[in-house]
Amino acid sequence: MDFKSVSKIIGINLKHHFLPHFILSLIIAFLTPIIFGTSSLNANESAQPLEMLVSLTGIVLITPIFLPEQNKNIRDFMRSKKIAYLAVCALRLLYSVICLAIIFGIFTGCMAYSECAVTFRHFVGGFSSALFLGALGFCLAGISGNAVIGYMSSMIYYIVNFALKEDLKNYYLFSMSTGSFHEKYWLIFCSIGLFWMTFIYVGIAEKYFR
Amino acid sequence: MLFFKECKKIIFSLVFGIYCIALFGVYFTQFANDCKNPMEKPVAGQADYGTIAKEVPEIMMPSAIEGLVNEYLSGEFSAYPYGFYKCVKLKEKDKKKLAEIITELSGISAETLENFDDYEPSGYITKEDGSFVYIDGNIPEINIPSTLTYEDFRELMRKADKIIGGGSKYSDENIVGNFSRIPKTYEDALAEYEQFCKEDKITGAYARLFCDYMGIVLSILPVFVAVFLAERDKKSSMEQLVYSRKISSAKLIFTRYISLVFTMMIPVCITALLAYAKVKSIYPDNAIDTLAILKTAVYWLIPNIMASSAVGMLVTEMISGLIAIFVQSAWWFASVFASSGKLTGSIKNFTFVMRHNALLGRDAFQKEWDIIIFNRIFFTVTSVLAIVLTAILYESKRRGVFNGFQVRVQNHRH
Repeated sequence: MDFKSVSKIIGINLKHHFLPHFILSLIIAFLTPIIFGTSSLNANESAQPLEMLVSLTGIVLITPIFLPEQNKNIRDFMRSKKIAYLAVCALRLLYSVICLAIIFGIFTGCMAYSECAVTFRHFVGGFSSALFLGALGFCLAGISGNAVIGYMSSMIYYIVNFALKEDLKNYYLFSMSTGSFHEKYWLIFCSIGLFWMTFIYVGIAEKYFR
Repeated sequence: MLFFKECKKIIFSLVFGIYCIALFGVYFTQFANDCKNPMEKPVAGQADYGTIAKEVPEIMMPSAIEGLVNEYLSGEFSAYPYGFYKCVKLKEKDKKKLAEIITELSGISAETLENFDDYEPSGYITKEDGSFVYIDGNIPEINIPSTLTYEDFRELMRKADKIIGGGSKYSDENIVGNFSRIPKTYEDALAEYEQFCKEDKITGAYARLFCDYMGIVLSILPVFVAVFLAERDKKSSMEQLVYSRKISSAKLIFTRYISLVFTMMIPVCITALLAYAKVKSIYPDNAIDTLAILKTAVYWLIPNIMASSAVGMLVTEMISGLIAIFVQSAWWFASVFASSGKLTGSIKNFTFVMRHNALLGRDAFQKEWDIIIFNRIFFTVTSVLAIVLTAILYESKRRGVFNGFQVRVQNHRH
């Protein structure tokens, strides 16, 4: 895949598939300061808006990577192309994760400007929760072949975090709000694992039974 | 028959399986977890029976004024305007307005407030041995004017809450709970227990707790099931085929809707029966109302399922499934977090996710009974109207005069 093809694929996907999801994630990010206070917060308080609200942008941006191909016509069209379907999905995943990082970067920057005690750890911590939520949705959407399943699973997991804090242990999304950070490494590694597993599964499924 | 076909389609779908797992998960991890032990009858002579919030002006006025002065001097006000914690810092203009209110309430002049440099917050601190000690802070002396009536005090507190931005400790909803708590007596505790046994017949109280937990998930999960089914036709390119059938749009949409609500109530009824069995097992010798949990689930939870499904069907038909999920999620967030600060006695006319996370507190629930009836009827009727609109949109699509909002945009371009 040459640079020209890559930029063309990214351009088309950004315009036709990514934009509505990106706008929704921006709406979430813009609503967060209205719902939460985001000025003069200490370290634990600063983690709350990042982990509890901005992290939802992960679901919105990463879950629908396979969404365009839910339309049978687009799926058949994609299969007829020279460039591998999974390579296109990998590109979509790449720019979605980059945009997610940008949203978190800007939001954390705004919080720092508003005299919140945020550091680089807050950026990584919030981003990892969002990445995990997105990866979970991405995985289940990829396996089931339906994005709604992905959204639903991520949303259920998000709700579960409010009720089962103790039971989730290393997979607790809001750990930074309670002053703990080591869970974030687990979330990042598991997200990478989920991405990897999904690509392998979708690759096999595309080849043999879809 | 179409109804059974639709039910079968829903029951054997993956999304319904996930819905059931989530529902049973909530039942076992939340409700069943709270039903491990029966509620103990209060015994005379206990050291502590807890506290209750009771509107006592003599208690409320000094403690609320002290709280307001403390927050003013610290420069930070705690508030929960949307259920989440918000640390409010006031602008100079608002600070001046609040200083005037504090002067009226406490007799402390605006100048004293402005120039007071020895402020120390009151509260609990941890000693070296790990124990907690309460320390009195340092604030200017408060002299509540003798001319200040309780009504004036409440009015000034309302103004203070408005300046802070709402949801503060001084709002009508929070002021009693925050600043007017009195110790419960043995008689109070016994009366509550008697009410739990005799008036609620035990299961009545557990029914509210059951619906409280279930209502949280049943206010959002049905939208996924509804969107999944609506999108399935599009995904398998069945839309055009269904359009060409003889069946009327109204009959098709309403049958789909009824089958959605019906199938989604099945696991709710199963968990309600499990809840009854669980309660019966921990109160084997008490007289309990057999149908209380099931009855409460019907009037409390069906409107939630109806509304969430209706949003799913309507918005999917109108725009897209993704937007339907987003709209319902936003509504769910707003409702759940708006009531998260107060889990009992906070039901309003348009509260979508009703909360009553306590076994006791029948009085608070009964006091809101008229509101609850209005609330549930409102959501039921609105849901039906939304489905009527869905049927109209579906019919327009069938006739080719409407194809979602995307086509309209293209038409304008032409």
